[in-house]
Amino acid sequence: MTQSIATETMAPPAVTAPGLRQSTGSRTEEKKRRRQRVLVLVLLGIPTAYMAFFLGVPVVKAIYLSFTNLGLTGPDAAHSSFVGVQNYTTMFSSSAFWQGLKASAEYLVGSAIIGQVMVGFLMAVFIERLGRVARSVLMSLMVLAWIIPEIVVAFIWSGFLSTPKGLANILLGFVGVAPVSFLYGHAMLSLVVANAWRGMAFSVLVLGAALQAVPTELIESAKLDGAGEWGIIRFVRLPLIRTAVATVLALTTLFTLADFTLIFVLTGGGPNNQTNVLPVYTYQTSFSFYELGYGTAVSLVLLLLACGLAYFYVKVGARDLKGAK
Amino acid sequence: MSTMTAPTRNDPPGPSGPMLVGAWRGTLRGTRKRIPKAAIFIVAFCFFGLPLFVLVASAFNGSATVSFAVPTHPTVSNFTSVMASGTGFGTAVANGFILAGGSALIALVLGAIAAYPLSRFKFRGRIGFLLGVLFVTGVPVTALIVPLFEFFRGFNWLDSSLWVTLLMAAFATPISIWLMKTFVDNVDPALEEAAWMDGANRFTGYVRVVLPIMSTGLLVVFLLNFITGWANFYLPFILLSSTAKLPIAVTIYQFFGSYGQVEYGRLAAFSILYCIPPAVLYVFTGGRFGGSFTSGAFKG
Repeated sequence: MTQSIATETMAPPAVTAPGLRQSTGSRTEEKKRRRQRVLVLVLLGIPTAYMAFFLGVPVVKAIYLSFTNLGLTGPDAAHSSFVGVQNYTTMFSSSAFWQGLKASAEYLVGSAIIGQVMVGFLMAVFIERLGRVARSVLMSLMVLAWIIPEIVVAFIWSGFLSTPKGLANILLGFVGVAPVSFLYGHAMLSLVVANAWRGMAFSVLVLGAALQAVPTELIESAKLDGAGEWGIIRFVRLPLIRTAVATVLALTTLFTLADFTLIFVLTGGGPNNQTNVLPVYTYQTSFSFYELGYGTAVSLVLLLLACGLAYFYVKVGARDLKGAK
Repeated sequence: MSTMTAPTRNDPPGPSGPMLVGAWRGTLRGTRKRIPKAAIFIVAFCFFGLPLFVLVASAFNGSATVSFAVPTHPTVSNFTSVMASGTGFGTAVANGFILAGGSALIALVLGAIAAYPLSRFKFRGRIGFLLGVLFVTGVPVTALIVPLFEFFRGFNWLDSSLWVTLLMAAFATPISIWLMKTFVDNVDPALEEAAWMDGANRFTGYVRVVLPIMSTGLLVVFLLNFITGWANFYLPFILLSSTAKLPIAVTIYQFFGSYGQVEYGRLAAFSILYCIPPAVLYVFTGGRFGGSFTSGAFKG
């Protein structure tokens, strides 16, 4: 990424007066340029090498491992052997893998796209209509849910949704509904709701800030043209905060796809693998069934999906970087 | 309904018709606006508040289980018993601070190193590098955990706090670079140039002039990384095994696994204690994190 660096010098250390610099000729200029190029290479090289070592080398190694029968214990741990594409054929013909992919897709659509982005947008619109006190009360609760560690979110929801006498079921009892076993009967829905609960603040903060930045003149002129409240939101404000929506969409889907802890603690992937999203499936195959080679193959599929989403995120960023230039 | 003949298409509208409808619609809109607003607020308030209330109520209930009950005699016994000596609470907290603090500090330094050329020099590949860093921000731990485990096993680094800290720093570095670059952008280069006039070189100018000006930004990046590291459960869960080395994130999980259902009160108290550092630090930074992801982060 840093190869062929052509530096357009920004004021180098000013030991000479500006007028003098031009007369000293191009040799000093050239030398300074070269020094700056070296400086850029060194300064960017240190963090790049650091990240490449810890994040890049394992990925490269993973590609090799996914073609072996490496195990966690036993003879396959000490001497793994090359098995060709066996892990991949096993994976693509395994119903557990497809179930994992399906669970990941459901979790992603339900929790990230519908829960955090769509409901998050409506919440951002709603919250700016509230009075100052009501708004800060609601926002504080959301932010609190967002900043507590994920594992605590899992503990909270395991208590809140527990059967038969968790608070959610007690409240349902008041309106005459028999106890619901949320984490067994409606496992995916429970996870979707719990994760939306946890991530809502982020979308509301970012989308709310973007909505605030929409110029009031545009809203006023739309009102004069006879646009209703929803018309203004739909046709004036939403198009203007496209970039913020795309950013939130990219980040929340990435976080949600990669989410492990909440699911691992709340449902453990069950019941019957219904919520066995790819990160949990990877964990299960590698560290419960001890099939590291196979687990690596699943990891690589997950990594590929994440890279696809990250690419989308980068494209949004690139548009912004160019817009700012 | 039947007494008031509804106007059909053939009926000429009576003179009072539109006005009446208008007035009726007006009051309807007024109430329609106010009642749902209050209703939505109450629903949202309960949805976000009640789960948190369960945690707090259980923590102060000496005999709490997952069956919810409002404590009749609130007590702090859950907190004292979790923190009692011999439970390893202190060790777990200390380990959490070492992993989160150490990795946050390393990522901060690496971020500061990369931010300078990205902000102060214009060179070919600069935008590409920034986008590459952004891309790495999106690479999830969960997709790399198996290869990382194998990587660590190969070097005999399993159960080493030092290497886990260094690894956590690697995951925190991309976001640090992004945020630090924006903060350096916001410091006027003229201030640095003035220091050069006084004989400082680029390094001392950066360290003595630029970094102190953006100290708030440094703090925000450090705290953001700290909070992320403090909550990091998966990496230490997989890569560390000795009880003496486990951070609080893993200890609390083990407690949940062994006593979660019956000792819910103690689990809740443990959870609240675990949440205190991130909550305090968040307040300390003035709630800057939401914005730090977008506003400004995407400026060239």
